[in-house]
Amino acid sequence: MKKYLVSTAVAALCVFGSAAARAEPLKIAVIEAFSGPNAQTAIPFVEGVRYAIGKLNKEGGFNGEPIVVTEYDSLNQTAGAAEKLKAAIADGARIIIQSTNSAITAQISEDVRKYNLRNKGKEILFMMEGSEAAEFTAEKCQFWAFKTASNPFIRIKALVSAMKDTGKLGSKVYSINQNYSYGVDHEKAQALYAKEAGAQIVGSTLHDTAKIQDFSPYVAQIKASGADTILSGNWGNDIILFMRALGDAGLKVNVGNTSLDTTGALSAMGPSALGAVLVKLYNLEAGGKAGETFAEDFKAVIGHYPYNEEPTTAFGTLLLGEALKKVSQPGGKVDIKAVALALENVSYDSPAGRWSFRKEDHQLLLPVAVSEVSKEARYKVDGTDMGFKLLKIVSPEDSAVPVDPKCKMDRPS
Amino acid sequence: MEFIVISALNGLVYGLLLFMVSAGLTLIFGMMGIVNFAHASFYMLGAYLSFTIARISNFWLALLIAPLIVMAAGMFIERFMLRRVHGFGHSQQLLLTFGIAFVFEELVKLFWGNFPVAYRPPPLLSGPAFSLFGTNFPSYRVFVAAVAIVLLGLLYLLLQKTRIGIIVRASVQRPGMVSALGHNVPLVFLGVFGVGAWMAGLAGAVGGALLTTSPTMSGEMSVIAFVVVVVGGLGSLLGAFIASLLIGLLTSFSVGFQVSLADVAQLFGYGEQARQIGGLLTLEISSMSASLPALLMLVVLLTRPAGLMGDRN
Repeated sequence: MKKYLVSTAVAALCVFGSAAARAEPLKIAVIEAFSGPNAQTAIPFVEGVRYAIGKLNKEGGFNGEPIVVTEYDSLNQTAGAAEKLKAAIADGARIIIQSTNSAITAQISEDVRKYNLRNKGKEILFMMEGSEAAEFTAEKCQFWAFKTASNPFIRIKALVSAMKDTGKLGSKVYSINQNYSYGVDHEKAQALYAKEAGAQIVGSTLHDTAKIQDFSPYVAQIKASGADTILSGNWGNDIILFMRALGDAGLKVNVGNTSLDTTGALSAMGPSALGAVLVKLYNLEAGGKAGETFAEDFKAVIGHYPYNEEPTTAFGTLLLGEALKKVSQPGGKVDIKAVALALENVSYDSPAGRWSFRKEDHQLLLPVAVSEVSKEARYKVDGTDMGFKLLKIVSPEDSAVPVDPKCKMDRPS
Repeated sequence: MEFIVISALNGLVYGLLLFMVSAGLTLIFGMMGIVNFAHASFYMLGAYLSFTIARISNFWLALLIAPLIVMAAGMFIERFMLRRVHGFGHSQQLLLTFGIAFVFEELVKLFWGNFPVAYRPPPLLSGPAFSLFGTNFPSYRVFVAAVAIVLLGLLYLLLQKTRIGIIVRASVQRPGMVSALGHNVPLVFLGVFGVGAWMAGLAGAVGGALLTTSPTMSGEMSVIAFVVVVVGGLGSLLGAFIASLLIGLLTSFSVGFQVSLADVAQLFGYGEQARQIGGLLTLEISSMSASLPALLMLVVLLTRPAGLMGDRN
């Protein structure tokens, strides 16, 4: 028995020894809600990351080693996410990718900030690849966190300008949003940019999130206000039920929204969604030949055309890949500070345009796609005869909103 | 005027749908003392089954068959699971139904996927029924209301006018005595549980097309159905009916009231100060309309602990 133990120890030592001789692989942790009701929203984000990492590894990985990705289930709870972050760090992860639920993003961002303060030289990098809340590049901005997502202001600015250009913005706007930080941001953004476009806000509502079963009372309220255009940041059931109530009441108005493309949403809304306008970080119809290549390549790897948030995290992670390529040296060490500094300067050319970070607040500058629910769309979704026809790509310059003065970033010396 | 009429109609339809779900819940509780956490799962199962059946045959057949399958599932659960733990007390039954609810949710995700499915009203019922002040009132809403009212009528006749109804009502009051008189009380329980599941299944079959059919629908309905049962009085069918309509109308009307405490303060000349304090004072009633049922429950529990129509007031 003793002999056996000794021999295993020797064997283990040998394994460790040989590992040390090779370069240390870069470990990335994906912390996401893989179970529970929110998994529906989270999975597309993860698929995009999987695609991008696969592509990066095919192109040589990092420091000549394949990048190792481990996925952790946050259970969609801040406490769970904090636990999983600790586990990920203990497992050797140096880059954390997380996308859904701003509350969890805030938790991880704070934990990463504290960890980095206490572990100089062993910092970890946090990629926020989906959470939209504006605070992450405002009062909560930090050097070690990069946001490859838009925020309500970027989205609504692009949405309103494209709706105006295509004659889909009336003069009387009603704004309906969910009653929490994200919805409140949306309400502010909608009021700001509708006014800038010369429209008048005739009413606004904040309602409970994911609790309303019947939206017809809200539709009655909107009709009473005389609005001809509705702007909303609602997602999930809150937009599906709202669109159905709108269709049932036969109210003919323009609708602009951010989440019409959630899996299953178009089929559940049915024809009442036709004509509604969606603002998204990407549309598959964008970019001509390059766009087609991306769509086919994604399908070959993941099994379906990229949909919903899959392109967001695919491009976000590929942008990270550009920085990794820059600092990668065969046999080298994992230097996260070098990666972070490189991230501030690199760019990734998506089929729709250039993705890059703004140095001041680590907000992503990106082209924004505005599309319309139509039967003429090239890629039909959810097994319906409808899809998202591209209306306009708003350039990174036009979609950018100014740096929030509340962002005070401590840069490492 | 327009807002009042439309809101009243919408509130009634939603309230009637709520009644269909909570009727079974309150009946099962009143009779068997089981707080059935899996009840809303029957509602979800009804919606998904009728979606699938409607796809391979037609909507009307789905409306007939789906609730019957749900009823069979309900009876299976009563006969082979709940009856086994019956002797161990309430907490065991509660835990069992809680677990069953989870199992159903995962099963639904497994078979139909973790996203909403395209369950919509049949073409015959997807047009407007009538037009009021220029707003269409969908015929499917009228249909849902009609189904609920017919169901209510049938349930009333069954419980009040038939021999079965007498036995059922007696079993609620004195199960031991009914058993001594030679009636098979476990069979009565099985029947009531089945009928309760059937009603929830029917509610799902019609409600799934009105609202959404998604894996989260049972969780959403579960909370509100329990509020209805508690407000109406545990075990009281009439109470559940009143509470359903009350909650339907309450949520429907509160949406239109964009009034906050600051506006009340305005009446006394303190509006500006109240707005500066913000927080609760500027929270509009309309933005908390989905929380109002819970508030109603709190008020009812404080004033009439056994519910509006409860026996023990």
